[in-house]
Amino acid sequence: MKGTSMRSLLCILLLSACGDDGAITGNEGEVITTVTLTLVPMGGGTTVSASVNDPDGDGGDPPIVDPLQLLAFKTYATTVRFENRLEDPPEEITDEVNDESDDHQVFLTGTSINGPATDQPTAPLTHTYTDMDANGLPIGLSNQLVTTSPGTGTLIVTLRHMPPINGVPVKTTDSAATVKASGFSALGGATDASVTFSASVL
Amino acid sequence: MNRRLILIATLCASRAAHAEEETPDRGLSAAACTATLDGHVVDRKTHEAIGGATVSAGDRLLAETDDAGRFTLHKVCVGPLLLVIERDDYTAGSRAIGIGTSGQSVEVELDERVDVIIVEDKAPDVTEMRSATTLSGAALEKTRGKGFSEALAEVPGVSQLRSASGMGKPIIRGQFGRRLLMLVDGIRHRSQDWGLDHAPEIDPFVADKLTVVRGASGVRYGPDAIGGAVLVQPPELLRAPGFAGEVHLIGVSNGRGGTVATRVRSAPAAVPGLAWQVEGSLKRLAASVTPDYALDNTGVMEWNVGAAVGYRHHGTEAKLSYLRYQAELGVCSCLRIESRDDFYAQLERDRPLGSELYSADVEIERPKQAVAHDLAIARVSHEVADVGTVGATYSFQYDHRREYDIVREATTGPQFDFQLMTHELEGLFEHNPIHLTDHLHLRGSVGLIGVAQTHHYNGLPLVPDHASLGAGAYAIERLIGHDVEVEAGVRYDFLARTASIERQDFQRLVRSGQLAMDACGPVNDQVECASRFHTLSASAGALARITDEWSVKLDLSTASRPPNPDEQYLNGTSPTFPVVGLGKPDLRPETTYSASVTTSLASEHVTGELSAYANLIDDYMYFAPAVDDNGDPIFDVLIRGVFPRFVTRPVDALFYGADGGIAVAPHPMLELGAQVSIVRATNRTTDTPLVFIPPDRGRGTITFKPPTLAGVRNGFVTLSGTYVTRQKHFDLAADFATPPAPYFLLGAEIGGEVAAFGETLKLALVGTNLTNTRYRDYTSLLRYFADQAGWQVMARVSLHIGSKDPH
Repeated sequence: MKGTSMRSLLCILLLSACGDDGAITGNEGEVITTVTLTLVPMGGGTTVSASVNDPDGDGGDPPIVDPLQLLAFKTYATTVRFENRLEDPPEEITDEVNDESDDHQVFLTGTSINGPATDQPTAPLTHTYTDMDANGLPIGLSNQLVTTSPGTGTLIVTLRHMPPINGVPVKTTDSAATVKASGFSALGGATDASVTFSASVL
Repeated sequence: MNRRLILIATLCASRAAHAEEETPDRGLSAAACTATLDGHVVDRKTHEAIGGATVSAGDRLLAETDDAGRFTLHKVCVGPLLLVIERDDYTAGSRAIGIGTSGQSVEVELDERVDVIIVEDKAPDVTEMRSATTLSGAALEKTRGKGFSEALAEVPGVSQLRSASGMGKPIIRGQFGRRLLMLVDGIRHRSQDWGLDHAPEIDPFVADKLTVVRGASGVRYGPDAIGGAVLVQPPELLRAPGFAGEVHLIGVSNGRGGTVATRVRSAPAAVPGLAWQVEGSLKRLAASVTPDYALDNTGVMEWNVGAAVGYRHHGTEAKLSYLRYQAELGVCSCLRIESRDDFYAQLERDRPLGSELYSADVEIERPKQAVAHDLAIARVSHEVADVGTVGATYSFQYDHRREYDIVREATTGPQFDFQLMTHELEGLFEHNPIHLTDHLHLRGSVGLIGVAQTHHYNGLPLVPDHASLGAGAYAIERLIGHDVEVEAGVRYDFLARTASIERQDFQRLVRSGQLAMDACGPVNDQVECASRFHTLSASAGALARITDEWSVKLDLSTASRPPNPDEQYLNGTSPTFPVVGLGKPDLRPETTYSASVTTSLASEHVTGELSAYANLIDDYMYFAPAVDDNGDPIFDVLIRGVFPRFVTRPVDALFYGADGGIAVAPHPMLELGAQVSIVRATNRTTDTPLVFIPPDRGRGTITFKPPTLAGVRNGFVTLSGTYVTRQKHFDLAADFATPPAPYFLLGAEIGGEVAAFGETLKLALVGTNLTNTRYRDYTSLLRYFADQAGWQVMARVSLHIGSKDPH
């Protein structure tokens, strides 16, 4: 290619760092391509897994969303996993969230959910946090979802990064209640992931 | 051979339009004394005006030339007259003229004196055919302590595109970034100028003169000077043995902190022709404070060092210089651009979420920008006797910008890391003035430019690596007459650019429909996309001096700007807004056709300039919301939610407006000033306004200059008011939010000079936004999130040491 040879020539002429073209230092961080929910029914049954996957990152093709189908009147131990599959091997963002759990919280909202961040008593799913950070506040990587009557709705999984401002924590006991009352816009910090599943309870 | 300076005085005698009372003049022949004699004094070599030269006859001082080198003698009597013209750095010249009843002319040639001549200032720059303002001397001194674009924004037609880091970039007549050139010491500043939040990496202390040229200046400065140019001119090296130095100390109350800057210049007597200078500045500011809360994390750490050495010998000059700028700029914690919902929710809030936790501390944390810019210049010029001056300049620039987002601790590096390296070689030939007649002289220059550039990017998907080779050639000629000057120039540029797009990014561009699969080379790990651009710029200008005090300038220009790499290949979420940005790889150059007319007045009590302009841009590259075939906006679903898609696309744009300023001194102790800037910009393709076009603004000042009091000389007290209207012409889809309310800012300054240690100490106290007004600025990225800074007081002490003795 003409372009390639010109570029090579320039690299020599300019003594610039062309050699490491395309090398990703792996340090720019923060990219999440994949959010996976794994639901294990208590007392036996089929494990349900669903993910939202955006293999080419921001832009290009939209993320692929798996359907989420659950059975009624069950209790599911639910874990949330975040990955960056643009890296090879995929980068496990869940571990980073766990390491800084006192700055992070996963919120479950949407029309299918009743729980700490929503107020929809008739929704088909009821959410409870089952994990805790060092301050005794929920993280949301481990949860319990109880299905009541059959129904359908959206399930939005939001990972919020809430680092302290000038040493004062932004993640507080009220974080989920704030979302419940006024939505995410009233909550400090920034959204690292926000994906929408379509849940149906059969 | 020593440089030979020749002074020509072109004198035109003309009869007065109507007969005046005959008053025999002592020293002149006592005949009919009704003639008026106009003179024009210029340097023969450069054909620049020589101001401040005295014109005398016998022992009688008749006149002094003004800045344009002109003088006028009234009531000149018919008969012989011996004129003597003198200025310190030129040898006195005399010429006998026979004043007649009809017009006549005379030429006086002078030779350089043999003894040491101190020429501190070179000949003034060529008269600009566009509207231009230069800040130097006392005017520049008044801007010391302000940021680069903040200092420029005091000039009519200029405003600031402010970022969320407290820094900004200049906007001239609605144009900024890629369409505005900044030249430091004559070298085009090469940086990531496309980013809205990328302030120019230029320390204003480098400048001895700051010049704003409004309007397309493609021929002289480069094809993309569509909006204008900002010239940052460092001081000349000393031309005679001596020593000069300056120190500035600045303290600031809001954005608590200060600046120290110094420069030392010397020309040792032991080595004639050698001169050097060393300079440095350091700025450290804490976060600034609005009337209600702190703009958390907007601290500034900035330093600059520079050195230059030059040698002159027999018409040959060589100069080496180096400048390094480095800064760490905190970005306000108040920014909420990670998700569209948070961004829009913030627009409804009166103050940033969590602002009660904000503090005005000095620490700079994430998010922040770290930038470094190196500029090295080697310059040589040689005067060829009777032909002209040949010069060559080589420059190297390395621009390194790193941007850090708030991330988890596992990530330690920057999220955006740009490295831009530019080599530039320019050859210039300026021919000696060709004297067509006694009143008509031709001056001109031709130049050749070669550029090689590589860009290396690391980080979140945004822009590709690229390399480019460019070349340009230009010629400018100027016909200089007595009352009229005409200039014409033409320039051709070629640019070959190859972008190396990572396979994943390439595929994303293809999937988004921005790029055809076969538009570039084979799809390997890196896809090479090459583009070639040929651009032509041309300009024609004229200046007419209608009277001694009043002149009119007209400029017609066309220029073509090739797309920037980001406009071609941007591919990712924007670092300034919650949008997905996509470039357009097959963009063609945009072409501007501009016209401006400027009228200037310079009389004893009134000086002013008013300029009107229109600028039509074909295929104007515009970054705005993408719409589908039905005209509905396109959204992209990302892992962080739904984001609007923005694309670069060619539209036809029209910019027009007017700006100007006037200063009136009705009394030696009083000075009144006013200035106004109006600009309109329309996307003619959709008939909608363009974004980030500054709203109308006006500024008024009253300065009181008391006589010397208690040892304070050149004292002054200035009150200033700035009024900025609400931008009524906006496009909500591209602007995100309705423009903020109009505002009025009150400022004051008090200053003077005192003698200390046998030197002059300049002191000043400057107050800005004294009423502590809460306001948001339409051309500030901060406006979506928070208010601008509240009241501020700045104290400034400057010491200039100007001993001419060798130390």
